[in-house]
Amino acid sequence: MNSDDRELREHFAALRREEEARAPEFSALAAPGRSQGRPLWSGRVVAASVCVAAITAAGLWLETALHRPHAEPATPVASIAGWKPPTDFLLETPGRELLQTVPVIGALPEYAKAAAPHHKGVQVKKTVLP
Amino acid sequence: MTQTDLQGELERMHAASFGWALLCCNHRREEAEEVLQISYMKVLEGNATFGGQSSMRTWFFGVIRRTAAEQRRRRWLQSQIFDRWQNGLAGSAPELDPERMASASECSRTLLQALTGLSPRQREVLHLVFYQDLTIEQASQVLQLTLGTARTHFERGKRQLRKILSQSGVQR
Repeated sequence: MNSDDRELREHFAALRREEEARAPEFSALAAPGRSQGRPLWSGRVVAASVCVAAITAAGLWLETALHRPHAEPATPVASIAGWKPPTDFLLETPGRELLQTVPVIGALPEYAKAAAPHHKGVQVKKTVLP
Repeated sequence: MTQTDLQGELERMHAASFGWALLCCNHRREEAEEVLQISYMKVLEGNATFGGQSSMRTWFFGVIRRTAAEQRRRRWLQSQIFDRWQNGLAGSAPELDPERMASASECSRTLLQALTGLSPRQREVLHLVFYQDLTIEQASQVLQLTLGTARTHFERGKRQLRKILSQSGVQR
């Protein structure tokens, strides 16, 4: 061992003396019923309990979900084909019939018939304007 | 070996074991006490049994080292799960116990501070050789390294420690 090693060894020896003076009692750490600190198994017991509780809860939930009778809906769901939106009336604009029918030459359209006076068989004489 | 013999042997090694536990826990006293207590329980309850391949001391130091690593992993996991949510990522650099630093002498404080500048392996080998008076071969058994690797860590650690201590003015 060289002098440098001896010097390092002395530093460590001084540290050891200090730490040994402050070391806790052996009986305080090795006693089986030591309340301070946590025993090794406590964490495992807690983890195992949490796992068991989680598995039980999941099992119970699955059990109830699988055996629950399927409830019929209170009101039958309307088909999309028969459904009418509540704002449908807004599409009924005046004069819509005019756009929906194809005019025929010589025939009055339905809407015009309703508005015209009934002169059955009376010929209206056309006059030629000067 | 009977239970009484085992307890007597552990009691005889108690001070040295506490010093080793302190190093394994970055000199955090509470953690070291917990690690040592768990190690004692492992041995006394028969969960760790001495096979007789090495000395009782090197075997028990190995138990302490493994236990400290287990506790460190447990704490890391807890910090990942809980602390991350609240405080963000904690710094990973080893921090010394401020209480321990306050109570240490000037010389010891400098040494403890200098030791944080070494790699964990170098720190462990130097502690086992200089603090615990083990041979490098025994240190390699505790750390489960080959003799050559332990020797390399020892030499590099010494060189680095001297460099840090000379920078801080402790060593000539």
